[in-house]
Amino acid sequence: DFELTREPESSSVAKATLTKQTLQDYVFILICPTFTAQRIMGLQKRLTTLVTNIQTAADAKEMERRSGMEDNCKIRYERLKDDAKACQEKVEEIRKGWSIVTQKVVYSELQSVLDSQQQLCAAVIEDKKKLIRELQRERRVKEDQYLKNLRRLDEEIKLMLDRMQQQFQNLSKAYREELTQLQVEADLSHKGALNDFYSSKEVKNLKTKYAKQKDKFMKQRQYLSEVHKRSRQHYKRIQKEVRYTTAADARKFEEMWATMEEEVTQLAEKALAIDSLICKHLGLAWERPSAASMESPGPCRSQEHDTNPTSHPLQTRHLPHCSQRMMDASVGPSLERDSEHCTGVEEGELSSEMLMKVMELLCDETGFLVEDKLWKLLAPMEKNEQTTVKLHSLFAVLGLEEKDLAKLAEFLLMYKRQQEEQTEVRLHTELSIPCLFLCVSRSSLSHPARDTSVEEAYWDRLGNIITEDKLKLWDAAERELKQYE
Amino acid sequence: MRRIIAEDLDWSLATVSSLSNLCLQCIVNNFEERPIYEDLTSSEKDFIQNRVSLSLPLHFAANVFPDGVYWKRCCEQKWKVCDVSNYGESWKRMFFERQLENIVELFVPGITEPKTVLDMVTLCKDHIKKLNIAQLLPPVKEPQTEDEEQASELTLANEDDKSGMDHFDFRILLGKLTNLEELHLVYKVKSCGMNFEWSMFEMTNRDCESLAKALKSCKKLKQRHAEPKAFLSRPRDVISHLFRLHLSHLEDKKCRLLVKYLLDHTSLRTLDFSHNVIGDSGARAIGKLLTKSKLEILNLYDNNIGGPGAKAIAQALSKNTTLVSLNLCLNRLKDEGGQAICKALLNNKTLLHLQLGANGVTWLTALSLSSMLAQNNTLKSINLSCNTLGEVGGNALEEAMSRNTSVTECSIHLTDIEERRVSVINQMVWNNQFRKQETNPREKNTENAN
Repeated sequence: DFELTREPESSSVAKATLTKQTLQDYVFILICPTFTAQRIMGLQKRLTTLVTNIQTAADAKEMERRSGMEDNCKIRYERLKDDAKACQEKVEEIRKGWSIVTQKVVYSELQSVLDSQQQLCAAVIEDKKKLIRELQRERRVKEDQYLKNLRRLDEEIKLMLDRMQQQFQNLSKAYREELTQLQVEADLSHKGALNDFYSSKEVKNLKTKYAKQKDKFMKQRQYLSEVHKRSRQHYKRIQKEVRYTTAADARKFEEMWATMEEEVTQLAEKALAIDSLICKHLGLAWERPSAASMESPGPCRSQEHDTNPTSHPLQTRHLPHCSQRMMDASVGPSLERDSEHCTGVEEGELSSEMLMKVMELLCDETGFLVEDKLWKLLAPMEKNEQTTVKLHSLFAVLGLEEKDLAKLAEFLLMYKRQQEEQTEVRLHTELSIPCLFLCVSRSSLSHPARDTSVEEAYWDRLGNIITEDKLKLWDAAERELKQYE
Repeated sequence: MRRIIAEDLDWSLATVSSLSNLCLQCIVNNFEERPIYEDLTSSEKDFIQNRVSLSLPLHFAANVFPDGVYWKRCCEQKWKVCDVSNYGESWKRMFFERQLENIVELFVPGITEPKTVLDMVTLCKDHIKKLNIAQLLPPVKEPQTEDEEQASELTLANEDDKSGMDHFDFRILLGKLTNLEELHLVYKVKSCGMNFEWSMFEMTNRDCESLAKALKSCKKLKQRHAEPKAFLSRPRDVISHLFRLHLSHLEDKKCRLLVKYLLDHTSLRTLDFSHNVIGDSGARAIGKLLTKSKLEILNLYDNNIGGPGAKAIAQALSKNTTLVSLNLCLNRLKDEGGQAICKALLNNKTLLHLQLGANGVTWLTALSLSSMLAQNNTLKSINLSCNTLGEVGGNALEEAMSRNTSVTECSIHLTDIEERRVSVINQMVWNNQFRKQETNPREKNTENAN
């Protein structure tokens, strides 16, 4: 244990002892592994004593000083007493002398007596002065000692502060170590407790079950992810195919168009040539039909519309069929609502009976989409009302709105025009759900429908490049020619 | 894109701050004329406290702002080191206490107007709980000519001459501080340099008288309207918990005077008269105080108490049941006093800390101490350092420690005891401490703090 020997005078020595002590402390910290509490306590005690030792040493010095002072006081007191006594004697002498002085009359004797008195007084004063000087000297010495003392105390205070600082640092370090150790222990004990908890029998079954289930789910997950991967790859491939086929179709179409156009123009030229010949023979004026009428819109324009996003190529075949259906169906209700969007002429083409039939079919087919509640409500109503309500709800379910209906009507009308040839309305009883959704999906409807009217006009024009009159003329000319055979 | 990251958390990129902020800023700018504070929400109050100018008149600010950020700003502006934990975590209290301490410390009697003190007191009398006054200035002395100086050196100073050195009169101050709990006083002058005079470090008689009168408790008459008879409220102690007057050359006469008025302070817990020159008659007065009041800590370190004084204190100690810590280090107790104290502790069951270091006690005291320790098992810490106990004393102590289980700190430095024996005693004491630590880990810190 630390022993306080004589307090060192110079600060360097003090610092040396300080560092030695701190080294010892560090060694102590390193060596003592267990019993952290004891270690901390020991450290605290040791470091605190280091600080208080300074105080103790100061107390000891103070005691010394006090005893020294007491002794000095005693000595001084004695000395003053002696001095006072001696002085007293001398003063007595002087007083006696004064009485002699008064007795003397003779001048010389008086003089000598006075002189002797003076000497005695001077001696007394001299003594006193000597005393004063000595006391003053003592005082100066004391003052110097006091200053020295103050300096020493200052150093001791500095040393004390140093030690307190060291104590603070060491203790906080030790506390931190203790804290980490406690944390480690706490962690270990916690883990140990958990392990104990888990390894006990009652909970063991659950654990195995859980492990099994976990495995199963992991396997399932793997399998599903693989499936998912594969279907994605498939999808990607199909998309590529679609793109390829659409590109190929477009190219084919272009080529077809080009060849057709060529043929048609050739034929048209031929016909025109023949026509001009005939006219020339007949003596009629012939003028070439304007170049504008022969203008070909080109294959490109149609391609624009070809790139409509039709979500699934496999189902484009179904598109014509069901769109027909939808067209009829929607035109029906639109009759009741947006009459301004529909051109009256086309409406008239549809027979209302057919329309009703179509609507009913639609209702029946898509009945599953109607809510159950609505079914109950519809039961007491008339058939017609039923269908309208059903259609209304259907359209609501399928996400159609009024303005969409207008577009739908337009779209369907266009298709109708395209397929005017088709007089029969094929009533397909089976209606695949996806294609219905497809039809109803906004994307397909919102895009401008393939407007092939321009091409039609072109073909018509070219087809009719030889007009009826001209044909009649030709027929007449033919008859005439035949007459001449 | 460069982003601006502001250090000032209140700075915002918005060119126009929100309307509420603008209003609050307006309130801050015109706070003196229209102090709108009470009706605001707490976050708005914080805003105001953070921004309002620190040069508001104190009387105004003291009434408007409760403890908070405003006072924190005031403190930090005025003083470099602000440790609010010393002031009960209250910035307002810190500000006013330090302000008042400053005023009293710089008060020059005869030149400074007492009004400055009184004005401050009216503002803050309810917030002051502790006053730690670290210097008290004497009145300014006219510079003497050389002849006068020489003359005064050789003449003996009369008592009357000292009357010109009266310090600050506490009567104007102490009565008004209604919540004062602790008062620390030192009659000294900091940084006096070459102008040092012993009288700067002493209390005069008149100082003592005025201080004593200031300590007199105030009795208040309270008249209750509801009840027909009026009744006297309990007399309020001027200082409730702690009185410390050290380094002030307090001698017997002054000590007795002060103690006379402290006898009424029934709630006084700590008395610190260390580093004075109290002698035996002063110690007798303090003994009387011990019997009458409920003192817990008595500190008489570095005084002049001798055997008779110690006997008086010992007598009080034998009947006392509240005193926890007694410090008589660096007195002149000698064996007479030391033995008296030890004998008194045979009956005492409350004293925990006893300090008798540097008192000139010898093995006799050690013997009586060891016999006391055989019976007493409440005493926790003993300090006998700087006393020449010698081998006999060391032996006695060793024997005592081997049987005693309550002492956890024993300081016997510089007692002329053999080193081996010292380490043995220390080991036993350490065992006591460790054993106690194991059974009650909470006590560890409090023990070592002592």
